[in-house]
Amino acid sequence: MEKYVRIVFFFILLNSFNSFSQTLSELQIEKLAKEINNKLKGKNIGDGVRGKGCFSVGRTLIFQYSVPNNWISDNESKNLLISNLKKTGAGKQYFINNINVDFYYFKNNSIYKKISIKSHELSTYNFKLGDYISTKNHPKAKGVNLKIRQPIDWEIKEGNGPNIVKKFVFENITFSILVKDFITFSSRNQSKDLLKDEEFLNDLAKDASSFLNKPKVLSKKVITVGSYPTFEMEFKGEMERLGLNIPSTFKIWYIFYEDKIIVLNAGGIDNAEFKIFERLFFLIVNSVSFPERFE
Amino acid sequence: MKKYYYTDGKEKFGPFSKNELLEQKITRNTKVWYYGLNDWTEISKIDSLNELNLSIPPPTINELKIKKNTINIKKGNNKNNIYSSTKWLIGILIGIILFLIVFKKLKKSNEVDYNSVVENSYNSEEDFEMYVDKFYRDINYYGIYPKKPKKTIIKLSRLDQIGNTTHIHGLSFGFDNDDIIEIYINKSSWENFDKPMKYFLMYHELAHDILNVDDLEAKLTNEGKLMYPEISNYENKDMDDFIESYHSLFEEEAKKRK
Repeated sequence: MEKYVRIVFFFILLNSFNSFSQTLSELQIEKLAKEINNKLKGKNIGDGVRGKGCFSVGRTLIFQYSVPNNWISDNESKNLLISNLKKTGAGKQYFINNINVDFYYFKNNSIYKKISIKSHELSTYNFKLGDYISTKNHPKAKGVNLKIRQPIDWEIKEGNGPNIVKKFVFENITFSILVKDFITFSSRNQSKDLLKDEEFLNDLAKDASSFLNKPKVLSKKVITVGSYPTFEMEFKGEMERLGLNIPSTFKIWYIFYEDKIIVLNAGGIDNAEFKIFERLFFLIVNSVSFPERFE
Repeated sequence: MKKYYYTDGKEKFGPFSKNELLEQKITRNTKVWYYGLNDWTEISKIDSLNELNLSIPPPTINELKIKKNTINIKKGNNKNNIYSSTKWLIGILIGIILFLIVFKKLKKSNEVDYNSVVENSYNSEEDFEMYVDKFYRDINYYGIYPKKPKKTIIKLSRLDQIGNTTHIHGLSFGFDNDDIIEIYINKSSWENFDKPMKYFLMYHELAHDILNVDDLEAKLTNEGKLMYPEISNYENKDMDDFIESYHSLFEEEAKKRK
């Protein structure tokens, strides 16, 4: 058991992922494999275990080790490896970058044991939703009674801006709920018609991304949230903080609700991790409901 | 030449010659008088007029019947006759009085006693100002900019405790008066109404008060419109119905005012 732990720690030192980076390409994974190979080959890990080499096939990194004849492995080996990868943080990076990892153990140049771990098995994220929170009677909700499920393990904060009702926060990612006044009342049919106006959508997208430097709209479409017409858009750009230009990415939903626009805003550093959370954002937005409709 | 007079019991007619008397509307029982007679006497009982009497045709059966009835009544009791007439008169009078009372009540039911409404009103925690602000925002959106009065009174009133206002959900007293918005909302309606109905009611009353728009006729084709007077039928309406109904009214008003 002790041997696996040492192996894991060894390759963590070889990995140097940049938290600002996008998901690694296969070419980058291959390059990484070569770097690891150079450092791992011939390395004495201890207890007779030696590094044999590392290479990549597609999005899979393959680590090879020579083990002594008295080295044994049991059924719990894979679970122990996964647990150690998660504990050290390496598992998160493999998961974010969608990298699978294989471990080949050789005895006398013959493969004695092969352990394969898929990237999703290394996820440390919880994509489950918890209880509903309600904006009913919230002083900043402007009378809107919206119910939405909070993500488990995320911190719930009060908004610090004038229209921000609540915020879900996890590390560098924030999911905010804002309520803004619209110019007048708009029925669902009227809102649907309004959202057919491309010029209106462009103005909305431009306005939403105006606080970023070099904003770029990645996608925009009209969907339905909680039975109300909604404009969904994704954009990225640079956000200046204390002189630093931080690449940022946002996914925003504008829900046209009576005489209000409810804005659900997921934003964070433009990296692979944000992309991973899109599934969770979808679940959160999909949980939105307006109980007044059924009262 | 003798001159004759005759009477129908009320008036006397004459003088007539004998021939002239024959041409009058007389019967054998008509009473005549001429100088020399002590009293009015039926023609049939005067010998000198026997010739005249014979020339008058006898009464028909119907005339006899009528006569008989008349006689019977007369014979029955003169006092009863007076009583009967008085009874009829009293009956008619009572009828007129009852009609006047009912008419007055009906008239009153359409009128609302302002003082009673105000006396039964009270300040509440309801944010009626929000509805006023939204109403002005929404009419401004259509380019309608009416004067905004400095004085606004919108209160709940216990209209159910005032006899003729139990069926009323809201009352606007600022109609045709641009210096004040004065609206009273039936407390029990407000407590029972859901959000869309509250908006329907408030915009309805505000449209009376601010835009001076009158109620529509309570006919089926007007159902669903903001100024339809029977909004208690709007229980199944949602906010979309409210929004589209007020947009429709404001659009019409904006066209009228151009």
